[in-house]
Amino acid sequence: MGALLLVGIAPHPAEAARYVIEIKDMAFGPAPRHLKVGDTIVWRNNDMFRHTATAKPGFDLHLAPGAEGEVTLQKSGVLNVICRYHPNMTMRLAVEKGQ
Amino acid sequence: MLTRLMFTTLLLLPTAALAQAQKPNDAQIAHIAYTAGVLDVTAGKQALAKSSNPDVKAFASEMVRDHQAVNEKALALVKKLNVTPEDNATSQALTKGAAAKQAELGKLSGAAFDRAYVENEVAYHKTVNGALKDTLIPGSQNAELKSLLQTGLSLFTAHQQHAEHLSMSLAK
Repeated sequence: MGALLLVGIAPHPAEAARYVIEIKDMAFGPAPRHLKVGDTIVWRNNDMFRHTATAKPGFDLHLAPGAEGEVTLQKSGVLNVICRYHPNMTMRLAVEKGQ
Repeated sequence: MLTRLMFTTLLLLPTAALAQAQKPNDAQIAHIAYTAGVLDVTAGKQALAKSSNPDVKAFASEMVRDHQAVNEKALALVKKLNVTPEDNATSQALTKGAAAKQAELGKLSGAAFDRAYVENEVAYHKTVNGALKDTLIPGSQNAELKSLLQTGLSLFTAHQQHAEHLSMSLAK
């Protein structure tokens, strides 16, 4: 299923990391663990359908088939992410304070 | 109630026909899957023209967009495989059922239309899901066709869930 790729693993814990979440077969890939403020998440839409990655308040990324979009996490807390077109597509991101 | 029963019977026909029929070949399977998509696009367009409920319109747009996307892939695939989709009893039963439903929905308006459209979307996606799972996916020989049908199943399943939620919110 959706691969979670860790691109550019941070050499130092204090450095921001970059994660890729793949969207495929009408689902978000697994949520990265230990997210921190300052980390970047890239959503890559590998489906043939149009999706969004939306968290209110937070962000609203439009993702055409094959497209990707990214968000840098601004504050700690829980983000409930949905696709506005397909409300059954959901994921929960827990963001910890940065160091 | 009678209309609803009759419709349910119509809806169930394709699955029953599928179960009894000789195993459909890939050309027939492609035709059935494509037809199922086209019929839902047509239903979505009817809803976009008739409904004024923003949630129903958003759902209908999703149906039109997603099913068109998967059908474009299906057309590209049959072209690549050099397969001509073959009309068959199941496709015909689906088309007949959808035409009857479209006529019935055409007579409704406002909230009554919205509820009937969404209820039918629940039932329709359920029927197609059953056919995909039990007959079309296991019966398909070509790996690429099978994979596309599996994508179709995840799509129809997501749509069914969306329709069920929407149906519940409209009933309130």
